Amino acid sequence: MNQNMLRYVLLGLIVILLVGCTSNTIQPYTNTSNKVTMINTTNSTYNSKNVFGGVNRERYNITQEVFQELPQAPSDLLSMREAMKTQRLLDLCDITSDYYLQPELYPNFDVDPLGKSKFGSGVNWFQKNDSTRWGVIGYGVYPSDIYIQTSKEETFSSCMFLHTSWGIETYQGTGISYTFPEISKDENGLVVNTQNSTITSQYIQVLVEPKDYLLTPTYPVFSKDWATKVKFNINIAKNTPSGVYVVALTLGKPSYNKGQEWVKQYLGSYIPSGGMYGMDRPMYRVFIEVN
Amino acid sequence: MNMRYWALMLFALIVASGLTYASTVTTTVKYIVPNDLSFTITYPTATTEMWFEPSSQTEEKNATNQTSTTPIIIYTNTGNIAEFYNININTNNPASIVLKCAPLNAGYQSSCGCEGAGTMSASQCCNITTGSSRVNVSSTAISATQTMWCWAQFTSSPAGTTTKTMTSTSAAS
Repeated sequence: MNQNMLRYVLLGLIVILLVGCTSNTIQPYTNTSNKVTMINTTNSTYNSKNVFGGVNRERYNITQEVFQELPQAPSDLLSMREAMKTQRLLDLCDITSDYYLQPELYPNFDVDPLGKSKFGSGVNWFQKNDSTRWGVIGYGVYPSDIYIQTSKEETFSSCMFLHTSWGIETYQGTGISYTFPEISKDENGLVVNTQNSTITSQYIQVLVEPKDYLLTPTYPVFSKDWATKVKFNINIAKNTPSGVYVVALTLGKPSYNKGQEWVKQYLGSYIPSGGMYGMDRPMYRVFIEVN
Repeated sequence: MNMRYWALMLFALIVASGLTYASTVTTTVKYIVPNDLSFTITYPTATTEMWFEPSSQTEEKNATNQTSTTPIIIYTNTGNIAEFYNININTNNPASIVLKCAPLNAGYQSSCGCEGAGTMSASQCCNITTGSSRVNVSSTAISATQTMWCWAQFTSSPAGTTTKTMTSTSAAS
């Protein structure tokens, strides 16, 4: 083999090597598990804004009239959902109704969190279409806990989404307020925080909006007000001792005037919240670590 | 250019490409999934509340529209975390009325095995009081359902209407 041949062989090897490097594609991120999220941070496909594509509702095999009252689903809705689910996106106050009125934003609508069913319980509800029963009471909050580190003399906002549960055909009037729970527990029932609510109220000022809200039906179609954004404006006083404080959302009856207005409007389809049903833990908690 | 130059270039490219490739396998693993606490309660069609209407002052009645195969309430866990369901009423019933509930129709007992705070079972009902009674022995999984049957036992009850607020609460398990 002479030198020229060797040069060509080496050149060929270099070309093969270069082509191999540039075509070394990594599989795009796919959500194969709801418990573990593996993210390749240098994958160019992952870094694009809309890696998950748009919502395809045809595959639910239900009438598309179910969604007719909702705004058009944003093309990056599923990417937004993933950012919330993986808690990379914690500031939810800027999320607009175009997003939070789409049922796919929430767990267990089109995706079964356990991975056992083709769809979540939301889509399954429409597919089942059980005419022997009707959904009377049901609501949810997403997310249910948020953790914030802040400093004294700070003011910030914390938001979550209050929504009617799947399959509800009634109008549920709710009054939204807050408490400082003395005891907070985790999912396993272990105490994660204790506080004196009277003392905490001296340092943490909270303003909640809206104060009253009418949760509207999700069946047989999603109504245009089936979900809303609830905003907590929180102020930390200058003399607040360092520590962790908890502010919790409570859902009770709406104000008298609002309740009367709604019952006149919806009569037998109106159900006031705060009496017949509720949760035995706050539906939403803000854990505030003051440094 | 001699062979040494080409060999050096090839070596440098192999090293460089190896370094470049090694830097693309950064992986982040997260285990935290935000919870959505929600549940849906269904009644039989045309039922908006649990209602008992005896035809005599001493009688045991099914909840209206409840049958041996149709529970008055079905809870569905529409969130993404397993849940427990508890029920209670805002004030205790008069002595002439006993409200009983069980997770299965077979749980009916003429005299319930638990009262107030306690856990119903497939073969045991609870008298519903201001103390919370747990409907499900084990937590209801995501998307799963939990049934509940209820009966009211009237004993020499005076005529009239007694209204109680029953609270169904859901707890993350």
